Amino acid sequence: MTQDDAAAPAQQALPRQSFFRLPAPVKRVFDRFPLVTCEENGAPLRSASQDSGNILHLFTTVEEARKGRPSYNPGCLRWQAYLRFAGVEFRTAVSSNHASPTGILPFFMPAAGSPTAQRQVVPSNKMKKWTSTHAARSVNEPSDMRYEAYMSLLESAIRKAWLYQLYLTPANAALVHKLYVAPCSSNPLVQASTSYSLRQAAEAELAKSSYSGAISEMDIFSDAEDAFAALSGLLGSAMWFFEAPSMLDAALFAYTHLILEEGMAWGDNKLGDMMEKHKFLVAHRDRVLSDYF
Amino acid sequence: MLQLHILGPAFDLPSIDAECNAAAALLRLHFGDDTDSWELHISHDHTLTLPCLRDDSQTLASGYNAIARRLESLDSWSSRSPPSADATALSSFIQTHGPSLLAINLYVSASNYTSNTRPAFTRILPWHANYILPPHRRAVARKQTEHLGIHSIDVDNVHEDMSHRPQGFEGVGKQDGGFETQAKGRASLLLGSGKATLRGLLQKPEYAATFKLHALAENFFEPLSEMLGHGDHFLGSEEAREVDCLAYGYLGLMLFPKVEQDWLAQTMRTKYPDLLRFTERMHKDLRLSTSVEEVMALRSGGDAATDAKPASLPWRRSQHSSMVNTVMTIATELVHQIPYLGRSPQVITTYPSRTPFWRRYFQPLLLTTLTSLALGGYYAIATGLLVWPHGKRVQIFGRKRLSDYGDLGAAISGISLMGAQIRHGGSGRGEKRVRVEEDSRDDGVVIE
Repeated sequence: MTQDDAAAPAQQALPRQSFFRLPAPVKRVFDRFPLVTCEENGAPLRSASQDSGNILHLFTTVEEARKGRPSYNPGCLRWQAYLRFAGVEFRTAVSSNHASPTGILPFFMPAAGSPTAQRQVVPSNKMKKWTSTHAARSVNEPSDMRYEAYMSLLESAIRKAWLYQLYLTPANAALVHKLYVAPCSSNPLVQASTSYSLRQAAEAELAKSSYSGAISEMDIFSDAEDAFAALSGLLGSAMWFFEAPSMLDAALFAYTHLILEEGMAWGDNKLGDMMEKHKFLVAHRDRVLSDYF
Repeated sequence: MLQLHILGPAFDLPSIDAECNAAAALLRLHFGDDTDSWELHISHDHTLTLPCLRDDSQTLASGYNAIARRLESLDSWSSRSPPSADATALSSFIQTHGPSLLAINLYVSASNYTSNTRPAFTRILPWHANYILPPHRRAVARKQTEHLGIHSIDVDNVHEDMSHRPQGFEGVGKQDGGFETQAKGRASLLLGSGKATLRGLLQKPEYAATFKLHALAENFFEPLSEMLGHGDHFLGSEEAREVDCLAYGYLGLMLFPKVEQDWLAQTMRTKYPDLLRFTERMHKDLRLSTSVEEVMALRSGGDAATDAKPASLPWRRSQHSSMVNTVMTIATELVHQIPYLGRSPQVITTYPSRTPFWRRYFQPLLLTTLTSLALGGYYAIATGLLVWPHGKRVQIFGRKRLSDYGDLGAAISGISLMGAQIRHGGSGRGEKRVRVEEDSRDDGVVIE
């Protein structure tokens, strides 16, 4: 029925008034004022589009970003070291999770081909692929089957111990505050809420791996100790774990550097005490730091 | 006397949990035929980390790694070399990638969970734990596999198995025989078995996730089988070690359950015969084959069953939980289900936590404060304890009358009223009173 009505010629003859059209008197008023288009505001000076070149966005501070110092977040530092291994020229920029298209830092913005072109964004899970096609030297994944196994040591045992030491140890609450809470907001209520949610997230992450949901400090650190011993055993006095620097070296450096870094000012550094026993790992960290940073 | 507390037996294995199986295998390996120095207990407390090694008075270690470390420190094994770096790495590899595969296979996959895992739990759990433990484990399994993005095999969440069918689907296969055979061929390529038809495929939500699942399984099995080689034990070891027991725990639970969607066991059988042989050999050598019925009979039956030694493992009867315990468990579990106030992960530290109370319970505290403020405010206003701020009931605008200036004003206005009435005169006393009242209501008497 309604379709028939709409198709009737009598209806069609009437001028159709759109809902959004301005009434005639109002339109006349607006016609007197020509629309002025203001010039675009320039992007802030520190924004990415101002300079060409590759930029890695990660957790860092403004001064350290200028000097290209290592990030204080192991997830970011791992990729920073990886890109250095691959010989990619880049500068670092301060960023936060909200700025990342995937919600996770780091992300990488390669230099645009032409000044007007839109920059591409390479999130961290695509960075290996990007590096393999664009980098000066490629960082190959070793074909050794042990690579996967040793990688899992870093991803489970050492990562868990790191999470525990940083977020759940009360003595390190000041460090978490300095690194992750204070840059977000100066309001004490917001800060309290942020640090609470950080702690909750770390607890949930640690509890996820067992069905009982219990987090045992002793077991976590014993596992980490075994993991360090195993990594030290594989490395020995060699330069790198496998023939050339690989993701394993980058991932290990990301933890060991931050554990040993004095600027971190740990309140309670159990992992650091453990690492004292493994001279090879300490030497490995010093080597990466002096050669690539 | 060492006691190993594990989840109950299932699928011909000593336990339904991978690490519990591994721990049982390790203790068997450690003590050999000596079944008098250790015993197996069935536990169904989901707040305990299982497996859990106790002696008569205290908990010695919980979790497989801790138990392995503990056993290593016992005298009888001190002559052995500590695990090599490769063994530690391999253990970590198994514990990193194994749990998510098992979680998908036994818990996340809806058809496997309802037709295999759930019934297996029913056989070993007391009635109340049936409503607590399996759903709890399934929730944890979902959380563990969230990042893999395999939601389509979990039909509790997605109702896509029916909605994704093309229109007129029923007719497609019947009208065109050629199409169906073609699809069959493709299906067998996908699933590795020729039985799947197009309809069967579309009805099973596993279809969409198949590629991803196979990739996951390959990523787990391939490095393992490479490290096993053609030898009897991992990493070319002469004898079975901790890492072999751990691998047995995980591989056994992947291989032995006869689940409906057996892509995992199928992949292992067809592509990795070395792993298959290893698992079956460990199972046989350590005599870990367990009959659920016998163990359960031992659990509920009389003393005769205890002496009969039905299983080769030293199972012991655990005490019956009393009615009070049951009620307490149910009550605690109900409390923990309340959002925000419920369970937060239990952190076991070597030193008592010095985290301030308000920081530990920030969210509950914030919620409680806000709620009590709101309720208190509402109560105060409802009972008149607090009055909503408002002005006078009567507002007078314009010029002021004399009576508005307090008592003195009222007196003066009274005098002037009297004067006015005397001028009017002639009326009765009752009328006068009425007039006065009317006047005071209107703004008739205004003295300038």
